[in-house]
Amino acid sequence: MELLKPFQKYIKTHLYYLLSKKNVIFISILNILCLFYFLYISGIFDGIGSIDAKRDEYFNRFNNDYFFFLKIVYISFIIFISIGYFGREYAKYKELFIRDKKTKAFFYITKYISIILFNLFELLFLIFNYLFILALMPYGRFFISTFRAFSRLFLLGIFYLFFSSFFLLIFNTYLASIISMICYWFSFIYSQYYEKLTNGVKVLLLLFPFGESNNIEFIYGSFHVMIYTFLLILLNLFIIILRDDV
Amino acid sequence: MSIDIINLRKSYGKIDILKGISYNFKDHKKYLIKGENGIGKSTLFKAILHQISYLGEINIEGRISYSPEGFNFPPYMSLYRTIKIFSTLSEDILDFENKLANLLKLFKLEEHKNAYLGSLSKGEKQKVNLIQSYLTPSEILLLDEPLSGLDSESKEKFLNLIKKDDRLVIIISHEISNFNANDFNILEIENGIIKTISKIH
Repeated sequence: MELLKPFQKYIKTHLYYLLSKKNVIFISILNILCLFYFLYISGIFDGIGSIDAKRDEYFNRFNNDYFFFLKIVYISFIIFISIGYFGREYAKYKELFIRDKKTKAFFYITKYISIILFNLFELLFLIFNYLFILALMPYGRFFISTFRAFSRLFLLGIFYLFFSSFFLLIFNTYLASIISMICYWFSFIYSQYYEKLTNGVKVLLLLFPFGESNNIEFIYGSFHVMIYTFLLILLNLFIIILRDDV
Repeated sequence: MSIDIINLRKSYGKIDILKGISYNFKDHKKYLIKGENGIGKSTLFKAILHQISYLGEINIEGRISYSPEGFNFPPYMSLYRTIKIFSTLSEDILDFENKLANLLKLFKLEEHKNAYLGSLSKGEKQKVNLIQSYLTPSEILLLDEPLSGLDSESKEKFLNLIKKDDRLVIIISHEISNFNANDFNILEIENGIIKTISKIH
């Protein structure tokens, strides 16, 4: 446990900066709005009697709308959070941590772990939201594949987080995050027509993963996104260690 | 514990800020580096702290604690929590509560112990900065414009504290009238090089 102590301290400090008053207000409002939207699309406001006859139709529509909305909002939210978290203004406190390349690597590794933990908590909150709505729906059913969909969504979120951080490192401006947003939207739109796409576009979809359907299935599989995310994290760290102005 | 700098050079674009600084900062000694704004004092600290790239050699023996100029901790954190978290990052401090209580008393910050940093004045924030770096376990203390924003009473108290401190202390300041020449080896950065103004024997 003693060995983990510095890790815990660093992670705690990163989270203090991440969970600023501004961010907490933004996250809370977004979560509340999402919860209301999910309640609305669940159909429970339509009255149980009226839905009972078309329970499958309502449930499928809810699931479709839920994950479609989540794919847009969750990833956009993560890209937004990364702008602040990896931006220079928020990194001023590194002066108190970094003394050499070793402490620099430790600082950024713990920073990465902190944001991954934060995303995990956000995802757990979303799962709780989902289960809460299912409990309110008399026709709600939970499938184990939904858990897999949530875990793939988490993986996709982590990928775009580091994708966005990579562009921030390269271009050193908040506007760089727009690039990752555009890439995500590109894959969002084009992956729906995968069969009709040219090979060139298919290669681009290899670079910008996207989760299809309610199950958030990756075109090239979860392993591809995992490896790609891992490489991206290493690339980010490599740039950070090499560059002295980061 | 020491910092040995050999032929340190640093340029920003075409401007040479440091043009070959060589100096050996020795254990238990106190140094005051003066110089106009933008002359390279903070750049020297940043090089020592490995925050920037440079040419030349810097050999450091000992752990460093650092107080940056005008550093702002998160405004939504309490004074106590800020100092506790940041000064114990590398290791726990023996008898932390007592040490902190004494420093808070010295700087008249006891009443603000649980106050949010956002509610403190500029001078009070600077005191938090100094207490944090002072408490951090280290053998070398680097202070960038430590007296900025402090009232004359606090300046005097802080300088007395530093005078009694056993660590290697390096202070950079553009204004040296507050410092006693008998307590510090005074250096100056001019035209990118360092020169000794006065030495304590």
